[in-house]
Amino acid sequence: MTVAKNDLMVGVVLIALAILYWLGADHIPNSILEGSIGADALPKMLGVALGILSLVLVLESFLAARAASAEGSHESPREGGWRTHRYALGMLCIGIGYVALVESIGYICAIAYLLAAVTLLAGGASRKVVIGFAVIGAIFFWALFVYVLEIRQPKGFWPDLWMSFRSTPAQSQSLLQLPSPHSAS
Amino acid sequence: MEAINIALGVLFGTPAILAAFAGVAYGIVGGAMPGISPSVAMALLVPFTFTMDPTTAIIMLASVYVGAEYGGSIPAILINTPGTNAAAATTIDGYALHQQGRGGEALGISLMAGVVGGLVGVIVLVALTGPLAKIALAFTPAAYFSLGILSLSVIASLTEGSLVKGLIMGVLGLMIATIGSDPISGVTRFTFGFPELFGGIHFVLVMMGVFAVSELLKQIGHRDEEQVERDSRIRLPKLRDWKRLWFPVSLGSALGTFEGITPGGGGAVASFLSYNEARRWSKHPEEFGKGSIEGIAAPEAANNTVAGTALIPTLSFGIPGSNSTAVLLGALLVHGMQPGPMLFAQNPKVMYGLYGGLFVANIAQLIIGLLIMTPCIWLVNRPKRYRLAAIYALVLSGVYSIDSSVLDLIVVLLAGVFGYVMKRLKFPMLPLVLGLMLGYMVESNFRRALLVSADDPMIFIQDRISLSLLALSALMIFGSAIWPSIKTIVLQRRRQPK
Repeated sequence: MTVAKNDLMVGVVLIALAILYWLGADHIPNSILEGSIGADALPKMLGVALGILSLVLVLESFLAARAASAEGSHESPREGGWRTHRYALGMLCIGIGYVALVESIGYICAIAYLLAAVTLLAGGASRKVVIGFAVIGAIFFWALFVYVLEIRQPKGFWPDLWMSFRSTPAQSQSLLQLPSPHSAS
Repeated sequence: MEAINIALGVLFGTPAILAAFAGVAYGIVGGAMPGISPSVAMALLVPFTFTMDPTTAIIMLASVYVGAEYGGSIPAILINTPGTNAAAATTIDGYALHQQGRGGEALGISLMAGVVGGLVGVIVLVALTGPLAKIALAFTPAAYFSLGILSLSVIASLTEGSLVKGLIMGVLGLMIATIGSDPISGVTRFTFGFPELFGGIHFVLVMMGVFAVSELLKQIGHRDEEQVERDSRIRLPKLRDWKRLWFPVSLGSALGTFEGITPGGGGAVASFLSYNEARRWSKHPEEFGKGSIEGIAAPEAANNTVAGTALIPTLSFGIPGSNSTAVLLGALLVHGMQPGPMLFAQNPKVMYGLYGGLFVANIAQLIIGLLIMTPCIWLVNRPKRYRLAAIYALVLSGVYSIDSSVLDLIVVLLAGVFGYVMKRLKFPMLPLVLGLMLGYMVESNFRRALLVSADDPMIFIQDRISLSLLALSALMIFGSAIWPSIKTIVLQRRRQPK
């Protein structure tokens, strides 16, 4: 797809965004603290500005595309193409996985997963090396953030699990089991 | 005299010297890694500075900028790949010298020219920031609103690519800034019921997303770079070399001063401009492109001067002229400081400490530049897979540490995808970040001006400073819009046979 066609599509999407944003601004409630110029004034102006600029982009790209087709010129495909997009998508999915996991499995395991997954995605390393890098890297990041910088990171389920092992069998049973409705009697 | 006392007090009473050395070392390593620009290196460090004393934090970030501008020349000379955009001009003669077996000499010239340029930048910064900040004291809310509009217009006009795309990104940045509570009445806007959004979207998250994450998404699909030779040794220029180098270094420093003060100019423009001018004025123009020592000195002096002078509009008006200064401005805001005329009155320790810190950083660049070459080459030689994984881990760990919020991680990933897509479509990122940063200033001053004038919009015309700034904005946009047409007409006329 040519640059002009891409810009045309982006311009249309931005016009839609401008309309939605303006409508959203129109629903901003008024406050008794403000004068006749309220909290919706600047957002509405920005919505209009985005709409006008997007329209100019659409017109510019439409004229450029028409001129290009009239001259019969073809633009070369963009660098990288779908291969690079696929890698980028993989990298993004790894990030999403980290976000989904970090609070449940804890920081140290989540960061080990992230390091291993990115290294595997980039390719060229043996599994043993990847595992070693992930484990050493996770310990390094955990020590750096939690111990050196004293920044709180998610602990996951590990403290609960540890507590259940450390408590007496009866206590651990009560920790692991839900209270029975008949237990009080 | 009082300023010198404050600066010395900061340097010797706080860990500022250590911060400057650490910042320069980290900056050189960051700048030396292709794909890690000074702004990305600085953005990665921002979360770590939250727990630091503000003065130490700002000195450290400014030192990273200084170090990264030099670091970018290392791969430019050794593997013909500039570590930063500003080092692109250095590849021309730097790599040519390296191929002739004079890589160490090229690294030495780059280091010394950078140190001289950096020191010139600090002197100009100290001389100009204070007087400019005093001018800013005359600014009314209407003038501040117009200044915000002018800054966005200048950045949108001067950044590479289409003017319309630059303006669109500026408006999008302002739109993101409207998320959260209104600055005057406190009414919440565009929060979609998420209480986490009541305070708005933190610009650090957007910066980390559009600068760092988008770069990682881009880099993962590219092949590994060439390996750097491990036995590269730095060699400083001798006295007879300086007879040839003083002029290109002075020229680079002068052009770097001009480009640093001009928003949107930046190190890359300054470097190429200096390279061209150095060739024009050289006694040996035939050597340029084949390994000229002047061809390394001029661009390196220029981009290191910019590291100091680009801070002038940032500190005196609160207007960043480049991605790196935008990150520094963000850090100032995070630490509760509002750049502008009151910065000197309210935070003299930070301001004069920063001046002292930058001076130390440039000296540190000389010392660390000589020492760090071997570990730097070792790090640059690590396979890309490990570097990308470590940087991704650093970004996501740092982001979580801002507010311990998973929503912040989601915002960073979304900003990264947005940055990746928009960069592919040739939309510039700086106007977006600037719009987001200036959003509060633009809106609060717009509303205050209208409150003062009883909702009369003529206040923006009646205020002389405001009128001048708005007229300049219109001139910038109009000029940028018609400039390509003028250029085409002139070129066509030149090509026509007489």
